[in-house]
Amino acid sequence: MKESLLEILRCPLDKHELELEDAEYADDENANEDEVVSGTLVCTECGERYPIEDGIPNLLPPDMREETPA
Amino acid sequence: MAPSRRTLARELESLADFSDPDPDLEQYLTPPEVAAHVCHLAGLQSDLERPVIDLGTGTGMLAVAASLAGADRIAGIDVDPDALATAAENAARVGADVDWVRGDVTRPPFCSPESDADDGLTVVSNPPFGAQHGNRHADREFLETARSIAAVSYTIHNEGSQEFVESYADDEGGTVTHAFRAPFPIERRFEFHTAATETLEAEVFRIEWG
Repeated sequence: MKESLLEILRCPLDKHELELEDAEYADDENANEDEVVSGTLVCTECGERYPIEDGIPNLLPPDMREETPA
Repeated sequence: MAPSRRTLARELESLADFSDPDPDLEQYLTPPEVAAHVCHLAGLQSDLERPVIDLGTGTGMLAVAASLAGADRIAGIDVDPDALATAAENAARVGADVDWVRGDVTRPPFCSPESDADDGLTVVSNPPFGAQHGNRHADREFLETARSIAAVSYTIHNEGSQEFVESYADDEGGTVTHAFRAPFPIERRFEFHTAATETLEAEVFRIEWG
């Protein structure tokens, strides 16, 4: 995801803004400059954490997130 | 310069279908012709100048179409990670620039017009038609989400939906500004389908949300 997507992304629980932590950016020269490949989105209000994996943020509410495969 | 509708449809024909469609999610391909029609109209209406959200993007057909039709900022959201992987490959194949988000359409992780002073969002969506037992109001949930986040939405419904969509929009302060029918071929892929290909007459609505 592009970092600029944060302008429209919100926490699915309370609709507050999200902050990007531990961001790793794409280093491939064809990628956009602000292309985030991994990191965590954190709700500025409730503190819920949403992982970004392979460039795709997982913004499923926590009750819909599957368990980590063994 | 935005491509013609025909050029757009031709490009979209190269997108891959679901690799392992899930009947519960009613995963079938949005026809390229319909996606091209919707996004071409959205371009003419200046609706691609807002950020575009494709609700239940599946293989990414509408999101990719929006990109090729000239939208700069597009996000496709789906609950199914396998569909998103296919969508990302499809975007790469035709050079579309889309952000993919995993999430639940009924609890959308997007800003809403009430809380944000800017110009709002444009929603494009081909929701499940609710053809399956127990899934009958799936398209209503997608419309509810469109109302909650969008300034303008384009949604594709099963034939016979016009009365429901118009009365829903009316009750919620929205206005249907465009309504048209489009042939919607569906290949046989689930047990409950009988014919090899069935062509529905889908109904498409553009709604301005007040």
